[in-house]
Amino acid sequence: MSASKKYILLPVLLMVIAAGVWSSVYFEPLDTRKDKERIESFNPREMVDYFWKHKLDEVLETAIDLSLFDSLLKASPAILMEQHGKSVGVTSRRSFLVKGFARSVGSGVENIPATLPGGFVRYSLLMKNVFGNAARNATDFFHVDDFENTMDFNAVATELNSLILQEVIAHKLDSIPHGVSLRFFGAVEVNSEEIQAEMEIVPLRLEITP
Amino acid sequence: MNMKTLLPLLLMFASMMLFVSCNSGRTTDKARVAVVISTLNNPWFVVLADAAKKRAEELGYDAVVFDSQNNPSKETEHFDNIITSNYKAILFNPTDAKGSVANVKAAKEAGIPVFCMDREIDVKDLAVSQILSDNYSGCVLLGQDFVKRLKGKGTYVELLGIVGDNNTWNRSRGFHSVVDTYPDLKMVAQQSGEFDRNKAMEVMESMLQAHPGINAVFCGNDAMAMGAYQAVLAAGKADKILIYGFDGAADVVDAIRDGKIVATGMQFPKTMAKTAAEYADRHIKGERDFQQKVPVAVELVTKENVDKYVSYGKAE
Amino acid sequence: MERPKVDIAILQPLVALTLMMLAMTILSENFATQDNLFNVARQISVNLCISIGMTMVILTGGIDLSVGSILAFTGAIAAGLLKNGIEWEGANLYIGFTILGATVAALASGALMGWFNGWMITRFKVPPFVATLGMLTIARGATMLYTKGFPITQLGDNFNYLGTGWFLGMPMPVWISLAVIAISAFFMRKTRTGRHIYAIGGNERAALLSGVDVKRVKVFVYTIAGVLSGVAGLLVTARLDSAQPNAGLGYELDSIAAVVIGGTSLSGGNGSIMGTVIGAVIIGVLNNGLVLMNVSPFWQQVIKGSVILLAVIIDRSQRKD
Repeated sequence: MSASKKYILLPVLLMVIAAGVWSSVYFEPLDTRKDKERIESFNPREMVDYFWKHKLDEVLETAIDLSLFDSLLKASPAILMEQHGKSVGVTSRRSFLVKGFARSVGSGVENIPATLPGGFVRYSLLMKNVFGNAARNATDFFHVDDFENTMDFNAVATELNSLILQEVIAHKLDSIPHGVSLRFFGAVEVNSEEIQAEMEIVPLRLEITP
Repeated sequence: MNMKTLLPLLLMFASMMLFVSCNSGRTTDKARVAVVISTLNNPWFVVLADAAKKRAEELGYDAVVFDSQNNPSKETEHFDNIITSNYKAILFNPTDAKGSVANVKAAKEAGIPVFCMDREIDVKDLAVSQILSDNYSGCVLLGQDFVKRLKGKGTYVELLGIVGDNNTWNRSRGFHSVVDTYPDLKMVAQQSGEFDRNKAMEVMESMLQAHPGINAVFCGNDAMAMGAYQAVLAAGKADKILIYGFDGAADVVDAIRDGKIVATGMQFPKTMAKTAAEYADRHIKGERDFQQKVPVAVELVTKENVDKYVSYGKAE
Repeated sequence: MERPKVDIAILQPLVALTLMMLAMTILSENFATQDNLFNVARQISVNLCISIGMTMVILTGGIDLSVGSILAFTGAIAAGLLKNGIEWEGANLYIGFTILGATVAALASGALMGWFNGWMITRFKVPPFVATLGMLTIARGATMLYTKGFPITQLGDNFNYLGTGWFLGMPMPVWISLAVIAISAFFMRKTRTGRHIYAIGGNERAALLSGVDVKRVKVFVYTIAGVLSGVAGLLVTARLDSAQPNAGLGYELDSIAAVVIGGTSLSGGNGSIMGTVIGAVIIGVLNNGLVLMNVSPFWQQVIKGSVILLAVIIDRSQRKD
């Protein structure tokens, strides 16, 4: 290769390489990129917060009275399951929204028994860690078909449960003295194949009645 | 080229043709349904495949089973062949929630309805319906039982499944969503047993050496639970360590009855396969209104209720 | 140096292929359709790229067992850089890669691994079987480390065009493999290095004594094998829209089979690119035809193995003549 040819070839080659590198990579500040990623990903907390602030009241209006629930459970469970029970997919579990009364037995307890003398089932309000899908399914507000991914749907249940722990249970655990009368709204899950003798209700709202 | 070399070639092909035509699946006039399974190397999936095939045949179709060998490339090849071979529906067990999306898309574009079984793909409205096992919720139940039996304190180890498998993490997360809220329950080691009995036994042996005083082990599937049990038994700690599994396999159901394993999450592969086959049949006959996702609940099997269950299903 | 005689040697595999395609057409109504043939062509393209690299390696008297793992690694690099780039926390910098950048980086990593194979073999005199066996494990491990065991998916339609797109009526992978065939066939026949490759395989000592830079040529063929594994890796990843950590498992066997059926001798010096191409097509047609005829997967394995054995036996008996 002659010397003059080299002088032309080399710069051209360098320019081609530079053009190649320029069209191969691009730069961005890292935090901008991370923010973009966060906005695009699914945020269960936001969804649950929105529900709690704006939709909880109207959902709670559909709650059945506990005594009615109990008598239907005893007399005609099949009708109860069909007309009021919420479930997702193939399962023997059904979730219900119920409302009723209870009497506190002191602070720091794990359950507060519901007031239902002569009931078919013994009910109590859960006052500790909430797990499972009872609350999410009972509201009938979140539907699995709306989510891209079943894990996102499950994340909603987890967030709802922690919100309940924070807003309803933790609030009241220490502040209710003994013997006070309470009104509650809550979610309960029933095994339709074998109805349990004792059921725990996940409280969605607790009010002290005058 | 002379006759000497041509003759063996001709003979070879004549014999191959004869052999293959005798062994090829006889095609009849029935409509065909494809059953694509992630791997036939795992008995759980064999149950899924057999149940799907059986139900499809009961409903009047010819069912052909394809083994993807846990390999999305192989799965793509199967889909290529299915799309050009005039199948009426695909009962599909994806190898990967994201990697299998392209295949379902191709099938949908070719007009073949896809029904996912056991595992889902991460995109809505591509498959006609997805009949899934809710692994996460099943492990939430397991976690609650775990906490109850250990009374909220102690140390344990976890045996994960195959790291690249979505279900491994769904199960682990469900379990931890409960157990991690109890600060006195500490996980001292977490390793992968790759859903394999032998590997789990080896890993468990090593973990027992490093942490001899643990109270429990949570295994991502039943094969690993049995492997862990072997290791625990050999170390003489069978009555000191609680073992949890997941799946509902025959040997674990028996082991629960005998008190060797504490609990498992029972999945229902037969139910899922049957439902998928039935949905396919209804779709072929013209029905269009299907739930996009149908989670099939995983049920907790313990010594107290084990008599209601048999391997992979409820006792009849 | 003599020009290697290639034309007669590929006649035999060609006849075999013709007979096979005839048989398939008769036995299955779905074989000879345009859709199916394009499927076959697309499926073959991956093995073709790897097999051409393998041909060059085998012609020098060596072997490369790491092609499958290099395929997986390059696929993972391409997908990973395209989707996630490189994050440099210390400088608060995100380095993103375009499709061009990710592709080049992937091919470069394949070249690097191939070069490493060649280096081990020439500098440290490690036997090719052992050196590439080591790389098989190292590359697979590197893939697992980089992907953390998870597939990398959702790479965008523009990237996936490489594997799923159509151009002038034929699938993109077919165009790419045709390009690879053309370039490599030309290279092997018309360039000096091409002839050197044959010479080294025929008689390495003689080649060395006549002034061939044996070490350089050997490193070159292994590097090319790495690059072509990279091309295959890109094709697979684009086709699936997903880089799988266990991609390419066992691909080395299919490529060695294609090379052998195509008439290339495993001891080196004899063979051709075109022969390998026909070998790869035979394997592809066999795979496809057996599935279309719904032959059990277990029998498929037996048949495939028998075909390979028969091909070698016939080839051997030919040479004795």
